Amino acid sequence: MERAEELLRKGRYSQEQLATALMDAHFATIHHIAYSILRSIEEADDVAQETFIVALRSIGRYRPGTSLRAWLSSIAVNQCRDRLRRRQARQRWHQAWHRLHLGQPPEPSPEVHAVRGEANAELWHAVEQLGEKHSVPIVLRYVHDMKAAEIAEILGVSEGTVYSRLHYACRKLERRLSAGTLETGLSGVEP
Amino acid sequence: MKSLTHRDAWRLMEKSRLDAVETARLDDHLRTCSECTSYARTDRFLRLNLAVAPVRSQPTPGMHKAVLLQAHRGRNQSGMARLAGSLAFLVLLAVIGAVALYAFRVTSPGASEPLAQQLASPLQTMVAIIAPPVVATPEPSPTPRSIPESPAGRIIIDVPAPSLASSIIGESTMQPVAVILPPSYATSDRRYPVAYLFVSGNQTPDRTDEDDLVEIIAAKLTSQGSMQEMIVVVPAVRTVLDTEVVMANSPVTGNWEDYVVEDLVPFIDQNFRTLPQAAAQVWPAGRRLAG
Repeated sequence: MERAEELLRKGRYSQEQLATALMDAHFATIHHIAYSILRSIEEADDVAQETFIVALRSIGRYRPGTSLRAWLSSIAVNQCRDRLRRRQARQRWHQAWHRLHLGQPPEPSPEVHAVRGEANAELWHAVEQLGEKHSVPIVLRYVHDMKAAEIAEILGVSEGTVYSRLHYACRKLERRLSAGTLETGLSGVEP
Repeated sequence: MKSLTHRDAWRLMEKSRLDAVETARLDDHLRTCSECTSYARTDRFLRLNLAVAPVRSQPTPGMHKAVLLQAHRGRNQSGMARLAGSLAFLVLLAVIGAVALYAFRVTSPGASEPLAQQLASPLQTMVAIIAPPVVATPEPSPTPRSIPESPAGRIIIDVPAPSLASSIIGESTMQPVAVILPPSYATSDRRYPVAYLFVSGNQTPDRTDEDDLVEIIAAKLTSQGSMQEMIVVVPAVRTVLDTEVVMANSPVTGNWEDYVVEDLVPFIDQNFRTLPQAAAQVWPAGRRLAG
């Protein structure tokens, strides 16, 4: 099986060949990115599938010679950000509805994580509370170990913007996380 | 050795391996910069604790099939969508054309006139379609205010304004005008110079703070001998739509420039003892009335 880059360079391929080549090489990465941002397997499946559909439809916009992984990641991340925005809007409406009818806000999100059996529930809750503008760079940086330059390319912003968003997010996380959580998380590690 | 900026320090923290020089520089910076020390601590904490294990390494057969199907359908659909869009645009153009043609025929004075004549003023017709002429509300008093037999002080008269008859918004053809006569007007046969004052703002010409002020200032200056006696004319500067008049000819708001030059000034000259034109007319303009 030829790699997707080679097929695109040659310019002779069927949709099926290209789709198979793209998914073989990049599905795991794209799905992992979507899952780490959205934290839902169903939504990650949808985003991954939609990413490859969009990529196949708009393959003409891909600039040969640039990173295919970054291009696909940027499609996936944009879809995740759209979903996060919709999810936040839904949550705001849900909270308003709860306050209006029950006189109290809905149950806090960490418990949902706890029910889902996730480790680091407090940390993930704090990351979610950052909002997509800051949580997405944090996830790409620390879960996927991407450098600022790569995050900048995916998000379509400057490297400086990525650094400032990361810095802002780190300061906010530090304020939100309890001192105990930070100390436990760092225990046994040399500075 | 040059000290590091915050940005340089963050770049070094990003690297997985640092050489001895880089390590020393970063350590030096972190010893003095509390902000970067704090950032480094959180950075280390997140590296260690923020992890998500991948849950799917390959697409399911269903997903693979769906991607192929949607990609094919999308390609066909985008071509069809483009074609449908073009067709819809053409249909829309045809409908607009038919409506415009129908409107021209309906609004033209006679169906028997040739089409070229019917299309003589398409702009006016289009404006009439988009903004139909305002039907002028009947005046409470149908008889225009005429000039008293022995005019004195400040009087309000209605000046015929045939120049405004063609306005699309239906401007009135009797325009109210305030005329402030000098103190000696009633007791002498002298002729006086005329000042036309266009006062902008929201007031009506019947009674305004501004023309009260004009009257007071004119009386004061005349009594002090600082200003020779003159007739002050304050025309209306509001349209029927309650907007400020622009002193220019317009098919929409009316030929206000013609009204002033051809209707108002001759009317004042005919009905009041004015000095000959040009030799004794001043035209002080109000704010924002320049045409």
